[in-house]
Amino acid sequence: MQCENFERRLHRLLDERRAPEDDAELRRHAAACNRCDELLASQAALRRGLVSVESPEPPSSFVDDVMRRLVVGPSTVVTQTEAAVTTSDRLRVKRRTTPMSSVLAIAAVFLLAVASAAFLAFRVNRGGDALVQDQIAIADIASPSLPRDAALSPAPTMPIEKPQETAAEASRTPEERYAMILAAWRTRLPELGDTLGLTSSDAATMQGAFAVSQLTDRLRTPLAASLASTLNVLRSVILFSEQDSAKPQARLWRVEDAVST
Amino acid sequence: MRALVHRYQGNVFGLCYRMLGRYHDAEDAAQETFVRALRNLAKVDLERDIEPWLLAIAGNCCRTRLMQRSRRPEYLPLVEDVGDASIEEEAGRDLTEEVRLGLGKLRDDHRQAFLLFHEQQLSYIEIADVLNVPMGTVKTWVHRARQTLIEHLQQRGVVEESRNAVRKL
Repeated sequence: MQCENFERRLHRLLDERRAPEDDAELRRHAAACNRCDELLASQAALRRGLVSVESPEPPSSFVDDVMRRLVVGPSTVVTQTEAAVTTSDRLRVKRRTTPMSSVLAIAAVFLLAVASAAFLAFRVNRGGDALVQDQIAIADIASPSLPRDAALSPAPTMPIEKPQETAAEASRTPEERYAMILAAWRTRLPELGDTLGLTSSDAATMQGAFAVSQLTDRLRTPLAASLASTLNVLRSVILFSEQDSAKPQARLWRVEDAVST
Repeated sequence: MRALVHRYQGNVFGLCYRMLGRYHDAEDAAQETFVRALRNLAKVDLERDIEPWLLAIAGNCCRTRLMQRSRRPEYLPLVEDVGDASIEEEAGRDLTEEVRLGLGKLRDDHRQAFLLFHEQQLSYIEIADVLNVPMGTVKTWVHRARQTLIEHLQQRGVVEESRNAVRKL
């Protein structure tokens, strides 16, 4: 047997999980060849070494640890193995908990929005037709130099300007009030049209639109009031912006206000 | 599920320990192997032997950890840092320790193929299936690993005792 055949046979026997040192043909060649003798002894040492290299047993809690990790992820692995949990595992747990906290946060914001809307609606209903405006004085805005526990003083209550209904106004019928509003519109529209850049045909169209006499009584009074308010706000804004003085204060307007100006 | 883990935990843990060389790393990799396997149990043909499939997953887990190790700096014990020659020489006389050292020097794929063949007793065809490489490649890897280990043992001078034992046969 040649050395090349010796090696080939040796590996074939190892592939077949047989012990080469038990093969008579190999031993015969090894007895005559020092190199092949060393090779035969080396593989025998390797096989002995592999057998003696014992793998340690997994911990007794291994099955339970796997089951726990399967259900809740690696963060609950017992202390003994906790140090071996990888960063990717921790991120996986974090990702799993994120959707629940997001849902809770969205629900909290939604509830807050609903509560705020309900509170505001309640305030508006309480106010009725009066215009309630809470104001905070400029001096109440805390400056950085103020101590952290400085409290805001209550804002002064602004007197609500409520128009007094005159005897002449009270005696008018809704038709008469509406007619006065229309007259005011007709008087002021050309002037406003010039300011706003309306053409004469636009003004005529607007006049025609408001000259509808088929409106019911229930619609005429609020419509007249809203027209009066709109007209005066428009006029006030234009006039005050030209004069650059104090802004007009919000207040309720009477029919007379629209007509008299 | 518990029965499956209980039955194969030894082989899976053993392969992980051989691949990684550290108890805690092996434990973590073996746990991850079973978690992955159990989550994909529905996709497996249970008519076939499940062990090669489990070992393939274990091999993948171990390779991932070895790649992570190679990317980041690793803590080494002080004894290894100072390179105490006397301790190393003494360990070199121990055949078991030398085989363990030799296994640690092998390429990852060579070591995995070698251990799957010699320790897990898988056939070449099964290993090729596990590692998803041709059977000829597996044979080459196992032979090269064996050759490297033999050379390592010869260099370390732990063969003489075996030579005498073989001669006595």
